[in-house]
Amino acid sequence: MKFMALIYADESVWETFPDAERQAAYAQYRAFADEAGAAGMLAGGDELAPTRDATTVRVREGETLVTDGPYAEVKEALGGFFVLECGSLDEAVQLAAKIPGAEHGSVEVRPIYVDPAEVQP
Amino acid sequence: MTVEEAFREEWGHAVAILTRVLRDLELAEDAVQDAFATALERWPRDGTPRNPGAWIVTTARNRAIDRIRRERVFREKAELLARLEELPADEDDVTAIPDERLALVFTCCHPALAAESRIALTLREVGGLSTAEIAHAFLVSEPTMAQRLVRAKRRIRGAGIPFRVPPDHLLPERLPPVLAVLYLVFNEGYAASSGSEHVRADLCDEAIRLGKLLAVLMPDEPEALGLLALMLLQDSRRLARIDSSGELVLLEDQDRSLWDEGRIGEGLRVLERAVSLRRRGPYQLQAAIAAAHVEDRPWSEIATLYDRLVEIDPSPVVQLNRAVAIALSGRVDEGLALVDELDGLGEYHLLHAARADLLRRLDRRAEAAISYRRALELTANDSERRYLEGRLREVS
Amino acid sequence: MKYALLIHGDDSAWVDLPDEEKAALRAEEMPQWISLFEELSKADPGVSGYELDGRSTARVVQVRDGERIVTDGPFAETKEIVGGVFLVDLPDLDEAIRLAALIPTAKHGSIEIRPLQE
Repeated sequence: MKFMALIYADESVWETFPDAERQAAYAQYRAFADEAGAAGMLAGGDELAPTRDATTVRVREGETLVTDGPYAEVKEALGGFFVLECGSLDEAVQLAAKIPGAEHGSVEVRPIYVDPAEVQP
Repeated sequence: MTVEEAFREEWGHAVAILTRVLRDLELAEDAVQDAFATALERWPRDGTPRNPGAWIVTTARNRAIDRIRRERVFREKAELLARLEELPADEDDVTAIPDERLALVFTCCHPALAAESRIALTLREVGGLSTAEIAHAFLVSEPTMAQRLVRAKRRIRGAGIPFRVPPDHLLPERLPPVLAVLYLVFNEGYAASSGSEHVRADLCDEAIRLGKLLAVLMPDEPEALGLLALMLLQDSRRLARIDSSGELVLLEDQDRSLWDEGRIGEGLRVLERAVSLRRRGPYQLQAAIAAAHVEDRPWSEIATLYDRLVEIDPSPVVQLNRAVAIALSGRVDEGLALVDELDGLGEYHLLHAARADLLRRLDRRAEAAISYRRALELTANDSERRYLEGRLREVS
Repeated sequence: MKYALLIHGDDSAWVDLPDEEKAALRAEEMPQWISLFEELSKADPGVSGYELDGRSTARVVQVRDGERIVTDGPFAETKEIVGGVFLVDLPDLDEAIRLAALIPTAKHGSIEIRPLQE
């Protein structure tokens, strides 16, 4: 089964990290990815650019409305995600707990929807 | 012409060309700024170049090369320097470069940028105003404005906003933000919600200047022409709006000899050209209303124009103006009823001033006084305050 | 430029519906999603997308002082949750906006366009 692990963290904290700390954090993420990958439990992942580069689109009454910024101004923004392959939701949660973001932020685990009619690879 | 004046004239051109080539607005502006510093040094000594625009582009190109060599890592350097090869090193070849200012305007006014960023960017990049001038005009500190500009430029790069004139099918939704920015700048100058008068006239001039540029770059776009006509016609009354003691003078009481005939003539000609393109729009209608005022058309005609405008733009302000026009055409009770029906303008001082005025004309003085007081609570402008106080005394 | 299109939608209207009704609603919207995916594929043949299950299967995990804390439900306390993500490589933001507007959820929810960090 596939799951998405959405990583939420305080962007302003990340912005103030000196370079050495950022490199250390990236190293921790790489270590997680290597470990999960070796166990066959990783199917992808990406870091998102900060919310100051976000744009939000809504369509209301046929008109496309474009606004500067993310969907909502919140203290902890979505900063990236992993796509995990696990046997169950509990297993995915256990794996997600090892994501560095779980320590300084929060990780939301979501099963990826599978259409019962679709053939699974 | 001073160095500053020459640069302000050529700023938009140079920044646009460098941005097209470098695909980086921040780097382009820095290069033009560097060229400015060079000019301040050299021109007083060597004299102003015969073709300042070409000199600026060529010098900005060279300063960009310096910056790239100094600041960029190897991978970026090669690519950026290669792009600069597209620009001629020879001043004489610069005139053949196409005008990229329209792309610059649309980029600065992109809907994915915050509204206040669009205004600041347009004034800085297209208008060539300094950060200090823009800060002063919008009553924020220079560091605040500088930061707003830097963030906006970085966002253009970070979010992936393209540097281009939108394709035709997108123009209907992309042109209104551009016109809105220009008109906002004009209104900042014209209505002067607070601040010194002197700065404000400069803003009107700048908005008109940018409006003329847009009309030249988009000669078949009737709303661009309509906006220019509107600004010219409104601006023609600038000197008559405030009398010698700083009091606000209503249109019907203005000394028409103070109206700028040149602006009026120009505005009417531009409006005529817009109308000839046979594609109506809100700015053209507003310009027609302004023209009707200037030509002293009867209020009933103006009311009819507002009837047409309110169909395209049913905003409360337009509805208010329509109600006032109807009242002044003789249908006072109808106008008052329309004002009373209006939603969403409770905090708008002109609503209460308009209601007060209509009540005054109906000789309902006590009610008029209430509305004048409410209007006074809501206005921050000294001239308007004194006008309202005068009317309040009349009905008390 | 690589973008993530994050689909924010309010699922409260149909989350408690019986399975049959949910299936019916899906079937109704499916043509729009199919044509959207065709547009996305035209723009970027390498496009990928993930639809996420509703809020009832969402879990939030945090590690504080070495201790693992798991709570039910999505992280955000808004009415709208992330219902899906598209990952797509496009020439510029205008293209991203055009495609985002084609996503059916855009009509009642919001599509957040986030560039991927380089």
